[in-house]
Amino acid sequence: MIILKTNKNPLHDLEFVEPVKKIIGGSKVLSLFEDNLKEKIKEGEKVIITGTSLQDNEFINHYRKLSFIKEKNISVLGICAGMQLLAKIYGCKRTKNTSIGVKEIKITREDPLIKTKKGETLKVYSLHNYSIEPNTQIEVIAKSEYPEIIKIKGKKQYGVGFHPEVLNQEIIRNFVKM
Amino acid sequence: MRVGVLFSGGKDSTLALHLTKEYELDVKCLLSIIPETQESYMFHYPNINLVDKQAEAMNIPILKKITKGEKEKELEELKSLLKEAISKYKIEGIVTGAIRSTYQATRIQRIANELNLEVFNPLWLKDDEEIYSMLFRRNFRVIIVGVYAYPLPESYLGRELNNKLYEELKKYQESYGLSLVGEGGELETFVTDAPLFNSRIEIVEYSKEYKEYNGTLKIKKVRLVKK
Repeated sequence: MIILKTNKNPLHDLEFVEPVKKIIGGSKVLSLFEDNLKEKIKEGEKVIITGTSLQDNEFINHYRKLSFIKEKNISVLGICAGMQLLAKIYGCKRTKNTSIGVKEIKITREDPLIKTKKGETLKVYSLHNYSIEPNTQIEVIAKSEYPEIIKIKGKKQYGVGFHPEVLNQEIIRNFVKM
Repeated sequence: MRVGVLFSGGKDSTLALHLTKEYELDVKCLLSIIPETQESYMFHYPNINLVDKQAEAMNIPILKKITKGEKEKELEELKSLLKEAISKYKIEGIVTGAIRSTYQATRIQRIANELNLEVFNPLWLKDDEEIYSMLFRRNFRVIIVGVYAYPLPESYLGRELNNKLYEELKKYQESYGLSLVGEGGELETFVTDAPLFNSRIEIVEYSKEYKEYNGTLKIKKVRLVKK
């Protein structure tokens, strides 16, 4: 298991990386801003891409560094900024949409990532200035006015638009068990 | 990065300040909202007027705003305080001591986002034990200045938060589900000494008010003692 962090400032590690690390019980941490990620993230690896703060947007300029996940058998759970990156890698657009705080999302498709049934709602904690627009490569598992949980078709690559380390920690545990 | 630290004088905001310095951010000022009444929703701290002394002990400038303690006004006051810090100290971000209150975090995140300020919550999702061990490891001296939950006794007012008290609180947590960090307002604390303090704070005069598991230690007079 690898945690790939997207935050620029190390002080944000305490807020966005450490809580995820605690849930999964320790992990190797890489940064999106380091080199040779393609060599460091090997075939068959599981990666959680953590989120960052509302004003920290540098990560999106580095999405090409992760294009290799399209070709390799790598499981991904992208959290917030991580979902934006994953969607960008697969050609989706980002739209300005600010959401801060606890809200409800609706499950549109059942999946092992979430135990919740189709049609049910889930309370989530959001912290983002952008949402994503789905394309044909993406399945939407849950949504609000826009996709909240996505899966890349035919791959174990997921994105969640909210912060499951705050509410819904079982999503992270389910991903680890997959 | 130039930041302002939301500061109440209690253990969480003082610990957040220390972590900010340890990560080498440029702390330009402390930012305090001072409730005129005791009934403030978000910033309910006794003795908050003593933040000046703490700021002086650490030699960090402080900006303050008085609020009447009304829910919505308080946020306007916070916004105007942040604007003042932006113009005076050119801050680019703020730091809070939020631990797991999504309510508190949400409201601060929204205001900061409107002002394009970065937000750092270095204590976010830390559990009670981690918070206490970080405080003890850094030799923080913290006293209890407010108790607001059953079964916290009057004798806790003015007591130092040390390992012994922590063990006692843990028992209360097991029996009564009390939050040990007191973020739900069960407990209020005041830091009298920490690594960034050049002088420690000595309490010279105080009084206690306590009724039915609600109590406050009113600190009336303090002095700074050079370390």
